[in-house]
Amino acid sequence: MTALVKCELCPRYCILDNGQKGECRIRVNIEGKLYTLTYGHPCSIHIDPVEKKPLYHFLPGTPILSLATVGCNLHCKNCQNWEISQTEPYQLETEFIEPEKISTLAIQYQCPSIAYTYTEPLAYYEYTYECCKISAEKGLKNVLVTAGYINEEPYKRLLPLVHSANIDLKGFSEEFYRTVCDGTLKPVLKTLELTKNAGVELEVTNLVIPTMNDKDEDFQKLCEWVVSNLGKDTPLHFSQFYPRYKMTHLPPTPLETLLKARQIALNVGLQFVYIGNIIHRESSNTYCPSCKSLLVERYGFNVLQNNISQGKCPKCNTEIYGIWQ
Amino acid sequence: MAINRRRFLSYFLTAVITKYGVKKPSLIRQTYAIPLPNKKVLIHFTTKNKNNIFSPKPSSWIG
Repeated sequence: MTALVKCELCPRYCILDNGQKGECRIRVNIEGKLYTLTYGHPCSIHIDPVEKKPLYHFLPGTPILSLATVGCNLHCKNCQNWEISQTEPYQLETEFIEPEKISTLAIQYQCPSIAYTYTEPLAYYEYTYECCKISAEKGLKNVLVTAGYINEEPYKRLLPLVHSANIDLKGFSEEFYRTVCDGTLKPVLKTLELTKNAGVELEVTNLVIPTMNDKDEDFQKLCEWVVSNLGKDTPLHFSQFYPRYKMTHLPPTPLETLLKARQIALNVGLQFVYIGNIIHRESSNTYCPSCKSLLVERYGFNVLQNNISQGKCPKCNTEIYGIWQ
Repeated sequence: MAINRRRFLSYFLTAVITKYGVKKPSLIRQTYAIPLPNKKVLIHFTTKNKNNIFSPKPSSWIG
């Protein structure tokens, strides 16, 4: 009788019979051993502006090599990239690209950093880990864009290789995570704390979905938690939702809601609050938290001016959170 | 800890069946997965044009 395998990568703890795949669709038990199906098979590779991740406090204005394989261990009904995150590995065309080649491509195309993004880099963990290891050895920086749904041990193993992360905090209730994402909130909060404590440049994104997580008290609780546990200097992005996947019945998030969320966050004490997926110039800019002077001016994904000098405000010399060079 | 109900039920039933003389399979805990070697490819990846490994730009994916 073939052994069952319990995958302990993420808080789902899938128990897999022979030939059975996990909830992420990309980890499988074959004769008592756990295999990853998408190692070396990215389904998407692009060169994006780093502002698209979104990362506003990490090498502004630079290109970032961005890649993903199929699969995700959450099943958010609002998933904006569901065509690649919620599909089976055999349904998309790929070719084998070894981790070494990823860093070579980044250097070749003059990208100082690599983002593991679009789907869930912690689900294709082994590929992320190897790529991060080789890239870090070559002096490149690694970026995770993730939902943060992973167990502590494997995440701690990966963190020393990571320089920056944008982690989704999709809502601030267990009910939201259970009903919308098919997950739980607590492990995500733990991941956020681990990331910040490890000294990784951390930015948080909250996708605001009309009627689902857009109440004032939702924003208030989320922001208070960020201030208390991650610090008031943590950049927070409120992103506009578009009707996708299983939530096509909801309208896009109104600009007013995003501006309201931003104001609540500022009132709570957060220093860097942005709105995204929508163009609103003032809410895209970075201002000095001390003297309020304009530090980085953005329009969409473009950086129009960057006045930060050696990580500090040129006027009052206040140190600005982030990796700037 | 999140519990996948379907899988939990499956494992629970297996344990119950053990009572009736069926041997319970062993459970191996694994965190890290092995890249699937070519000889064991269960999935047939098709190959894209090798001259252009980049997907069309700009990326339409969020993130």
